Amino acid sequence: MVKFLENENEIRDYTFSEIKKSFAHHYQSCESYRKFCDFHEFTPEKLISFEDLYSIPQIPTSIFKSLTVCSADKDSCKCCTSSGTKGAVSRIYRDDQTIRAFLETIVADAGRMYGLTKENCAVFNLGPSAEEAGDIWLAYVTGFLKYAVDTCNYMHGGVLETEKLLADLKGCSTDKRIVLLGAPALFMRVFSDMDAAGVSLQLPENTVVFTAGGWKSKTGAPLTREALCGLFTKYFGIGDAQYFDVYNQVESNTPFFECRCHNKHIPAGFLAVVRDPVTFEKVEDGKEGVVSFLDSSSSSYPAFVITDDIGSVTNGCECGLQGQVFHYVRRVRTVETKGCALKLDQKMA
Amino acid sequence: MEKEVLNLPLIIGGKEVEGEHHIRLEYDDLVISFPVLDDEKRKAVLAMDQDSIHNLKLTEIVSFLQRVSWLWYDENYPLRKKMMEYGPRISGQSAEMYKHNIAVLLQLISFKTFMEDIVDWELGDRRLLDEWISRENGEIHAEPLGRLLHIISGNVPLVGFYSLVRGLITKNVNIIKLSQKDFLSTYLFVRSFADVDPDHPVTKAISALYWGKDDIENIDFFSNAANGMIVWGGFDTIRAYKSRCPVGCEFIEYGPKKSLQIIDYDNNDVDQLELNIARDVSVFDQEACLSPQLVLVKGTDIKRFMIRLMKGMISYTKLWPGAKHTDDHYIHMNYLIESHEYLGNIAWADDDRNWLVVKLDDPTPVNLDHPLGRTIFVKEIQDFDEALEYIDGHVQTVGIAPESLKLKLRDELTKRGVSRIANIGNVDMPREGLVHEGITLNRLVRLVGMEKESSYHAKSYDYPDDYFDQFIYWLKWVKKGEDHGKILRK
Repeated sequence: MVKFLENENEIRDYTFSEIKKSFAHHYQSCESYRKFCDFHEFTPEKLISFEDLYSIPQIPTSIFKSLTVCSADKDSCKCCTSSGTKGAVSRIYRDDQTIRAFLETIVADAGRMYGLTKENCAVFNLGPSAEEAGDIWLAYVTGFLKYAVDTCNYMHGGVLETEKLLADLKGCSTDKRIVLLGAPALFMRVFSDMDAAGVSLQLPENTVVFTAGGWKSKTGAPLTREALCGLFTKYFGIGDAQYFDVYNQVESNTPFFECRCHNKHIPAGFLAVVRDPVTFEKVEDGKEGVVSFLDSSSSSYPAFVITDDIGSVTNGCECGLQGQVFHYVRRVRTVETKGCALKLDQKMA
Repeated sequence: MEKEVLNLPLIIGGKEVEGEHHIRLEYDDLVISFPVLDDEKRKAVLAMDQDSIHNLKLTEIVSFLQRVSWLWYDENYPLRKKMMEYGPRISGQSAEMYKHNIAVLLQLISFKTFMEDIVDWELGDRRLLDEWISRENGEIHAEPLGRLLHIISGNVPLVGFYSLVRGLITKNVNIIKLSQKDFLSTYLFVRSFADVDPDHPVTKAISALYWGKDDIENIDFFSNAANGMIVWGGFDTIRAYKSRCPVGCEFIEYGPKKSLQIIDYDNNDVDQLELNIARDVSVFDQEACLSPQLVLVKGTDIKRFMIRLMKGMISYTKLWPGAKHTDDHYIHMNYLIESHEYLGNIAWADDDRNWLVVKLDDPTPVNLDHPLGRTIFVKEIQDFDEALEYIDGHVQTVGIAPESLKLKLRDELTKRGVSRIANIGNVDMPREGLVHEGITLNRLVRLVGMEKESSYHAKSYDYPDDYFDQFIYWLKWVKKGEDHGKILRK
């Protein structure tokens, strides 16, 4: 399990013990992962000190697109997929315990970092309900919020209901804090509609906006945080201090929330390991590389993953929170045209 | 650290042309500053003299190219030194690989007879370019298309050399669109022509330019001005220019293609087979369409094959050090290694990821593209029919060993789209008589003809006596009262 702890030593000890437990479980319960570990001659007995965590075999995301990797009864799990629009998607099998762990992290972080409670906020989710989201992980899991807090979803049948969203925002009672939630691309659609209608709002100062998901515009061009923030100010009257991004991907069972310094914090029980592009050895803190992680919060699949992202980690933050801080840089580019050479078909390699 | 800036002039009709505004091409530790094309410069490019090169004899053109080669033989020739110094900093390829590209260029242009032989193989008769040759009841001649637009890809320096030489020996004028990825190779080659003779019609038949892939104005302008387009590149590049190719303009596409090799290991009689495979994988750092990406091998001692192949990869890395790639490339290779190891396949690579050999025992796709950069997949096959499953119209070159297997498989391979069946170990240079991608010089000329007078009959056919009674060909003025028509051929 993951949780926020305040003492550096405590974080280290807890992270080691939780990941050790988790590794032993997945080694025992997931056959393909066990074989992979055996190939690397890494067994639970090898986990003696914290540094040994860096040697735990990690699974590249491509494997989740090719194989069923599961440590539980697959039929009792929810199959969660990435929202990838090109090629195959990752399939992650989550049991109830794993989903619950994810949601508990959200609830704990929302309370601790933003003072949000079940009673004091109203969530305006630009995505669909869990029922409508199908298997797409982020949409599915945010759709679950309605079971925890007062939530309204604004995506129905794939249609974003901007008009209703704006009407609801205008009519929202002042005794609850507004929480706006959605992928950057969905917010861009809202702004486009607002622009066309010549509308802008001035939302209360205690409003909080969360974005989660890919940073690409409709045209495929990358969006920047600064550009989006400017639009929040223009259309919602919201400043940078009220806007937070959340990092998550389908293979990870723990979201990273931004603190008031806009740093993404990693709870204890989760270890981000940044690796050198060539050697895949761990790099020192602060240096950029391939992001990989060891997440102890999953019981139904080994969440020991090499991601498709470039980033770095540091320790501690001016906000006072201890532990690892994650800095996202960009996605890894593995699709590149090289002159007249046609790359061998994926199915052949 | 401030980057070094390389200010380069445009080359228009062989002359260096400066400009007021510049485009900046950024590299790791270098910037190329190159004049932006404006209306005046574009007009000057189109004004290149087509008559002067047209009026040269082929032998004069190949003599000129031979003199260019003499410059490039000299390791101290300033432009060669510049290519060796800056080329690797621009493309990431090693200096040794540039040296190899120059070596292949010199093979191409050092021998006048070799270039003339190429014309013979591909056009049938070199005299066609200079003369009107009698053929049956006429005389034929090869006219250049006129103005060629070459879109050069940056994966292999040789691409630009090869494309330009073929444009020149067919007496065309040539507009070269340089590649950002390997800007200097073709550019310096073109510049060296002026060192032989700045006023030679060959020198004046070339312009070396640059525009970006989103520069629709220049793409449209030069596409519309071309009589022939020779485009090297991937799907997007080919599509971008093909869609703009004017009616009546010849469109020649090189790529995107892939290549592989098929080995009957038990019957192999060449001791250094694995070393030769490693050579084919390593040359051009595997970025060419003719570079093998997969080896299909049938045999009883595959372990021996794998070990010797790896030794070969190590040896060729010493001869031709690996290119300097982006971080993404190495990450891609590592993803592949980890993914295949998860599947139970075995992957071998050196510490610096200069090469990677993966033995595919579990065929489950790992949803990753081939990263190139000397990555070779080895798949064991049980029979050679299985190899045919890997062949389609996208496969260009298939290296085969031993010789007997070439004969056995060639029809099935070429029927499926393969254009070249190669010996293992010299994939970078098709043997004399073959032509890259099967695209001959015929495509760069128009075969024109003039009939000899009607009474001339080097060739005639025996028609049945009453044939022209039944099928009237011509009418003839006749005197009043006579029947019309029924004019026979003789």
